[in-house]
Amino acid sequence: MRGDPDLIARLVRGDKPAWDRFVAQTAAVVYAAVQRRLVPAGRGDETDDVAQEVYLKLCRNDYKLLRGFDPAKAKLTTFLTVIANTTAIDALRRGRPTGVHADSLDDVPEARLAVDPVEPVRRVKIPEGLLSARQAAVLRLLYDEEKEVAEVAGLLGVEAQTVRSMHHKALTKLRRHFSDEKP
Amino acid sequence: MNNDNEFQGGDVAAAAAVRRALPPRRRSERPDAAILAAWLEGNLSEAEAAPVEGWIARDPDGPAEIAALRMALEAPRPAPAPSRMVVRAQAIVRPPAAGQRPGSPLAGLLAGLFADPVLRWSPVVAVAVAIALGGFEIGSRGLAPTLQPQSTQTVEAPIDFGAAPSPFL
Repeated sequence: MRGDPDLIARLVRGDKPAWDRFVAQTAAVVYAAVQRRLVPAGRGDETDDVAQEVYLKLCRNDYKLLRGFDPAKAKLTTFLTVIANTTAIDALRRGRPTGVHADSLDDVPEARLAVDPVEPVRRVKIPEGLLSARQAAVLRLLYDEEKEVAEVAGLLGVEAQTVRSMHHKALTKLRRHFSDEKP
Repeated sequence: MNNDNEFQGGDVAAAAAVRRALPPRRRSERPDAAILAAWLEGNLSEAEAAPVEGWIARDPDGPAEIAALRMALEAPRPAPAPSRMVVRAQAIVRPPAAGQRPGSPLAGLLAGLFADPVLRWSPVVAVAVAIALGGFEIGSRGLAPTLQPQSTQTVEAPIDFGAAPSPFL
């Protein structure tokens, strides 16, 4: 669904019939996005409430979120999926258990309490701005997340060749920087 | 092994060096929903995309959130939402009162007030009635003591010009 500029204008004016139509047309997308997040976490029973929260967010602060939407840049369904997804994540975080409860510490198997010995790792300092945000994201996904080039390309919405090229450029920059830095 | 050799070295050494070179991960504020949506559709320039890609590089949950969003956007057409949820969400925006135009609540209130011919003239009528009642009250009882002209009287006080000046002057 491409965002209709007139529809957004009517919504932010508080046009009730436009709001009702908007909710009826978009509820399935919002509900599905919320459900997709909550059900695997065992909290599917909260889907109605979190979907409601999505629509509340859209109205809050005199429709600030809706006013920020640009129909020329994205589809309305994409925009709503983003908001529904983040609202569901925030709901899950709010309810996230805080860890091992002190009273039941004796009941927890010792293996779960054990902390793996981790050797302190010397972190190499790279100056701000040496890598572009995109190059840093590529390195993060390839090395920290251990994703394949094709996965990284899919995630960033670029061609695999672009990922390889950005990877190569980023490594070249790092090599050059650290060889220049060497005394 | 120095850093240069690490980056020049084999895959394992280079990977370890890159991991150490990346800035530490920290949870940070998500990019604005409209920006994120535009980025997901590939409608941002590299400069405009930097906040999103910087967030992916920095935030520990960023890559997983983006992956979930991409999956959600590729999912087949969803089933209709339950009607109870739709009704609740529709009830968030209330219909305007009769004669009230949609807009800000204050603007709607003022518009409704001045649209009604009785309400439009009511403040004028109220002021006129207040003046008339005030005049009637003054005419029948006279002015209150505080509003009457003040009478003056002469007071004679003995002044001794020969008194010694104050030590503080």
